Amino acid sequence: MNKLGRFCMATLCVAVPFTASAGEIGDIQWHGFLTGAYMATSGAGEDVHYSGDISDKGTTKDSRLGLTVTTQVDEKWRFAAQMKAKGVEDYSMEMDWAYATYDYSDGFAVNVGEIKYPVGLYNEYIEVGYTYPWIRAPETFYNQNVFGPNITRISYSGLGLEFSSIGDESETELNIFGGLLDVGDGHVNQLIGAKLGFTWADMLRLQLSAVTGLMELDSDSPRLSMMDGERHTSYTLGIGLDMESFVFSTEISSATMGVDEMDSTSGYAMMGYRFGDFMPHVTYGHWDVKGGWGQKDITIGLRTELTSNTALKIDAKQVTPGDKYNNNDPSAGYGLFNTKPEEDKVLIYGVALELVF
Amino acid sequence: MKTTVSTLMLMAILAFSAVSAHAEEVVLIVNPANPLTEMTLKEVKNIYLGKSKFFPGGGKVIPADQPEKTLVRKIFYEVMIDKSPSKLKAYWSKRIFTGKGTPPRVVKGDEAMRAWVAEQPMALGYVLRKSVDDSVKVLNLK
Repeated sequence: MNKLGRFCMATLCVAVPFTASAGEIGDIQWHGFLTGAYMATSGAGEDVHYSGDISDKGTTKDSRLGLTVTTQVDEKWRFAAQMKAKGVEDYSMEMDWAYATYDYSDGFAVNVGEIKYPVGLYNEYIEVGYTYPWIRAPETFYNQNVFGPNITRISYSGLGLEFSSIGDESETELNIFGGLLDVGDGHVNQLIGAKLGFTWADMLRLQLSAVTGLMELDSDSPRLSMMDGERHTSYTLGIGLDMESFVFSTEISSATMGVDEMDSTSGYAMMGYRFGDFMPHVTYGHWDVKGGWGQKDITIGLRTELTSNTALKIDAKQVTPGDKYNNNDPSAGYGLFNTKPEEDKVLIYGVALELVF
Repeated sequence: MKTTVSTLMLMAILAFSAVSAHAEEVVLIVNPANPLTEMTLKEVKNIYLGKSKFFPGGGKVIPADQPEKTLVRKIFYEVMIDKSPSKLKAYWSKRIFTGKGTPPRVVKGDEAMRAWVAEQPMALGYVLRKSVDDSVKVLNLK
């Protein structure tokens, strides 16, 4: 947990006893989510690992637990924080995000703290598998690797301004945000972005975003060090359609990294159809990098609603990595594999139980 | 022309054969000190979906729900909110786990709801009409 996370937790701990006795304003709500997942590759080969440590031996490292606490501090201020423990991080509990919101009116709110990166249709609740069809949201778009696919799953420290307007059938919102992004090997400083969203009849969702930041990286990796001091800029378009039975979503992103070979486009398109509690779906994803690496994949999956808060998912994905090592550097991986897999096409399959409470 | 929420609800309820046998009037109630006398269907929906945090004209609103699987809640959500339980669960999951909001508090039963609204100046609740007394005020639907 970083300093801001510890600060927010400390603030919450201090605030709880007071707000809990402050009547309706001080209502505190706890919610949580749980994912139990098993995933494996077939055809990758020995010592070949896919993003998140998936191998032919199989893994449960996508399993995770999260707890979210929210409280209304007074008429205008509220506070929310989410902690998570993930298998891929040995289940160590850490802060996912923690921020305070000032609701000036229904049309304007200010967020301050450590805030989930607001770009992408699913990114803000990416840890909560119950909220989307797949075991993993399309990795060509949503990935742990900040410098690969364009969407980061982590949170930024800073400020967000949210403007919204609600019409009879539509809702339009604008989120302007800025701050600092900690990416492990360094920071993205001077981060500033905007997201424009439009929702119609709770059915159609359009989202446009633009983000830019200055990368300050301190790494032994040649591919990371070459981007030190460079500006990262990305543009994203997302469309989601959720009718009674038919479900569709697609997103595309274009990113420049200050180094020609690293510039990329990525995206996916998903279609699903609900047959009562069952929803089969199919997804095509791609990650194209100017340098010639990246990957393409096709996923077929089935989501089943077991209860009103529990879902069972089965996914099978065929991944075709590009024909070059990332940045021509074997240590940098091969698509989202750590090295070249044995087969040209690798099957990744898995099953997951998702619960929210 | 203004009609009461309950009248509109009753008309809508009668269209639902599944619940028409149990048709009851459901009304929106607020604290008598609340100056509001009417709301639109959209305003009610926005408050119960957490999109509006203030009463029309200002003032923080604290909405309350009846327990799941109760008839009064089933009627209210079918008529006023127009979302199935599973879609509602998915909707709130997205808001809860992004810190954007939480579902309304649950108050168990008409009597408890009426008592809570009578004590809470910012409250918005719903009960069967037969449970209303002078301790709360019934809102009209614009």
